[in-house]
Amino acid sequence: MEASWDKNGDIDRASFLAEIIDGKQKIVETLPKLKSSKSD
Amino acid sequence: MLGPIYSGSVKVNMALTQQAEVPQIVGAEAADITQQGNPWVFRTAFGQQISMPKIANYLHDRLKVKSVALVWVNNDFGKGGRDSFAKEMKARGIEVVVDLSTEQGQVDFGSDVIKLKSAKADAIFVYCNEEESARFLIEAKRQGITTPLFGETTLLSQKVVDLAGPAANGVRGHVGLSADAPIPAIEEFTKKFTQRYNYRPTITASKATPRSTW
Repeated sequence: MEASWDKNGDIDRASFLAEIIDGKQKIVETLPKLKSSKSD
Repeated sequence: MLGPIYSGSVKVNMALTQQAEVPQIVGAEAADITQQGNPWVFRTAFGQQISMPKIANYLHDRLKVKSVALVWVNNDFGKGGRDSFAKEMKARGIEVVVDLSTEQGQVDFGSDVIKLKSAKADAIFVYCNEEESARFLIEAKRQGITTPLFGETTLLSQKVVDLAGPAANGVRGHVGLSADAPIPAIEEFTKKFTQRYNYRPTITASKATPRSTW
């Protein structure tokens, strides 16, 4: 997974949208980085 | 230096690594850790200033939400999250129709749920501690709330699910990291961790395990 850090040391990378289904956490979608990297 | 995970611990020892000029990679999430001008500290977890724009983008771009109701716990965690979430809603033109503060340790959410029901928002964002989140979900289920419920990490934790039971089903939200994420590197990590320790990794285990040991 590609990650980048800003000047403060905060990480930016993909994360996830989850839903509780039948009492378990399921990942239903991948959420993109907030800021695209230069190579994107 | 790798770690620690807890914000309180990091706030104490990050001054020492800064003094020694040693890079420190931490799993802590408190917003102010990276707002003190310490050039030696780096996160592996999201602070609220990153996680709230993520859920705000999802509500705005994917669900086309026009209005939200916000319920939060009145402590440092809840206030920080509330302020960040409200700021992101305003930036996207989403109206916060109810902004409801609740108390840490609160047991009865009956009147809060009544207010949220009558608001008729497109979505409800819940930002409370685990026990309070579970009590809220149980009351919301009891009163038959049909508005989609969203949260950030805590609302979707296994502890909340265990405490709330069936009332947690259908809740959605942002999670920064998950052992179930459909990412090959994470799937491989989950497999190796489970084989070695005989249980599935929690989010804390995921944050604490150096990449070189996967």
